[in-house]
Amino acid sequence: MELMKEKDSRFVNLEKKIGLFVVIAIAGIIVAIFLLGVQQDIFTSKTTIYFIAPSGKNINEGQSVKLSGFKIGKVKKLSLDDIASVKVELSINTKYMKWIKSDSKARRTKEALIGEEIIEITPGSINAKKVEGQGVIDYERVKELSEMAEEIQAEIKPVLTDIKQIISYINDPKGNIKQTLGNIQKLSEDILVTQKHVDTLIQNTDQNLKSTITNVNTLLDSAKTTITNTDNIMKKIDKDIPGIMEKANKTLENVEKTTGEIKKITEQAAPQIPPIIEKGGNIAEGTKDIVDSVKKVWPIRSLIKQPEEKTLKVDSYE
Amino acid sequence: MNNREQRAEDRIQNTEVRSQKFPLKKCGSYYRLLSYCLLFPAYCLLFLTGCGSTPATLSDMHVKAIDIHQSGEKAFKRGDYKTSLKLYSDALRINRSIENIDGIAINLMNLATVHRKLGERDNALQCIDEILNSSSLSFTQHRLSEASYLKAILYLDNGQMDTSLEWSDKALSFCQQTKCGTEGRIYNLKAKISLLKQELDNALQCGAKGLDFNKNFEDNQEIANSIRLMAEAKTAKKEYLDARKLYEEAMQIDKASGLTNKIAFDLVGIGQVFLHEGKKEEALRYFKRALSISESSGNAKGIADVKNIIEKVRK
Repeated sequence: MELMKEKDSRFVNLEKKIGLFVVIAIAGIIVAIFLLGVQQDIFTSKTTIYFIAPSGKNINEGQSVKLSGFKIGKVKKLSLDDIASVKVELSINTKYMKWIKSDSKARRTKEALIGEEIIEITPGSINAKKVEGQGVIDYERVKELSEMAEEIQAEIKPVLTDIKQIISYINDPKGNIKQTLGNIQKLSEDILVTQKHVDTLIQNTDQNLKSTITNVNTLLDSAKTTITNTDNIMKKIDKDIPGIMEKANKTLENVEKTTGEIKKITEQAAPQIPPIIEKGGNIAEGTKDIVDSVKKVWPIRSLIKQPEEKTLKVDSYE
Repeated sequence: MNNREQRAEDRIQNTEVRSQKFPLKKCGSYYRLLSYCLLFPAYCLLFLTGCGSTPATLSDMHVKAIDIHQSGEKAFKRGDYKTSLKLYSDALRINRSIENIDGIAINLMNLATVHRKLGERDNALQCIDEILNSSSLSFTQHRLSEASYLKAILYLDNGQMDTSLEWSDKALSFCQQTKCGTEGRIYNLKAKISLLKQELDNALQCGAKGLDFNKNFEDNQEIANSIRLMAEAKTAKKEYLDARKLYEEAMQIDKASGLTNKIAFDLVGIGQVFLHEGKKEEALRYFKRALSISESSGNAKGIADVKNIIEKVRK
C-alpha cells in the first residue's frame, strides 16, 4: 500500500484534498443555516414587553402580535402572577418598538370573521413616552359572542314587556279604547232612532217639497245603509279584536322563546367557533405560504409580473 | 535473493505494470468511495443552496403600499375620486415611511391628478410642488418631467397659457437628459397652447413632433391626439381636405382604442370642417353621430356641447 501511494501521482496529498473538500462542505452547510436563520428572523433584535390579562383564554404562545395590521412580534410566554392574573410576555421586533407608547393597549382580536386570533397593539399617541424593554402596557378586554348576545337580550326584553302592556291595555274591557268603541256603537243606534223621527217629520211637510223630500229620503237611506254598515263593522271589530290580541300575545311569547333559544344555541356554539376559525385561519395562512413559496420558485417567478406603482395617465387633449 | 523475495519483487513489478496499463481499474474502489461518501453530499449541498436562494423580494410595507396604490387606481377608473384620494394618501404615507422616493413621486402625482378631477386645483399644485421644490429627496428626471407636465396642464386649465408653455418647456428639458416617454404628450400640450394662441404653424410643428415621439413609444391615445391637433390647425388654416383626412385617421385610431369621447371629438371636428365648407347638412349628420355617441356613453358634458353646436347650426 505504501508503495502504491508513492508510485501513483493521484494519491499524492490525498488527505489534504479530502480535508479541504470536507471543510468546504461544512462551510456551505453553515452558510445555508445562516441564510435560513436570516429568513426566519432569528437574528432580528427583539424587545420583551408585558401586559396583564384577567384570563389566558385564547392566548397562546407563538400567537402573532400585530400593530396596524403588521406582524411585529409574537407571544413569548404566559405565566400566572400572585393574584392569579395572567402575565403575557410579548417578543417584539425592536424596530417596531417606536410605535408602542405608554398609552398603547393590547387586546385579543380576530383578523376577520374567519381569521386567526391575534394580539393587537394600538399605536399610542404621538406625545406619549415610548415603552422600553420589560415595560408593561394595558390590556383591553374584548367582549365574547355570548356576552354580546346577553346584552342584546337584556335590551330587547324591556321593549317586549312594554309592547305586552300596551296590548293588554288595548284589550282591557274597562279601558278607554274599549269604552270608546262601545260609545260609538251607542251613538250609531241613537242616529237610527233620530232618523226615524226625521222620516215622520218629513211625511208631514208641504206637498211642494215632495221632490226635495224624496231626494233627502234617498240621501238618508244611503246614510242609513252606511250607518248600518258601520254598525256591522264595529260589531265585527269588537268580535275580532280579542282573537287578534290573543294571537299577538302568542306571537310575542314565541318571539321571547325564540330569543331564549338563540341565546342557548349561541352559548353552545360559542366554544366551538374559535377553534374552527383558528383552523380555517391556519389553513388559509398555510395556503398563502405555499402559494408565496411557489411564486418564488424558478421558473414560475419569471412568469409572474412584479406589482408596481405607476402614474395615472393625464391625457394632453382633455 | 531467495525465492520468497523474488516472488515479492515480481508481484510489485506486476502491480506497477497493471497500474500503468489499467490505472482506473486499480483505483476504482477509492473513486467509488469518494463518489458515494463525499461527492453525493456535496451535490446535495449545492442543490439545496441553489434552491434556497430566493430572488430579491419587496418588503411587506412596500407590497402593502403597492396594494393600496392599485386599489386607488381602480377607484379612480370607476370615478370614485374621494376613495381614490384616500387610498393614494395612504399609499403615500407608507412610501414616506420606507422612503421609497419613486413611490412618493408617483403617489403625489396621482393625488394631484385626483385633486384636478375634483376641481381642487390648489391642492393639486401643492402636491406637484412637493416634487418640484423638494430639497431633501432627489427625484428622477423622468418624475420631474412628469410633474412639470402636470403643472403645465393645471395652468392651462386656469387659462394661463404662457405659464403653461413655460412649464411644458421645463418638462421637455428634464427629458433631454434621459428618455422619459412623455415627450409626445408634452409636444401635444404645446400644440394645444399654440392653437389657443392662434399660432397655427407652431401648432402643426409641435403636433408633428409629438406624433413622432408618440409613434416611437407606441402610445395610440396620444398618437390620435397629435393627429387631431394637427387636423384642428389645418381647419384653422382653411386646408379642409387635409383636415378631414387627419380627423378620419385620428377617428380610426380612437375607434380601435375604444375611446368614445375622442370619437365624438373627431366627429365634431369633421362636422366643423364641413360647416366651414358651407355643407350644413353634411355637418349636421356628423354632429348627430357625435351626439348619439355621447348619449350612449352617458357623457353629459359631451351631450350638452354637441346639442349646443346643433342648435347654432340650425339657427
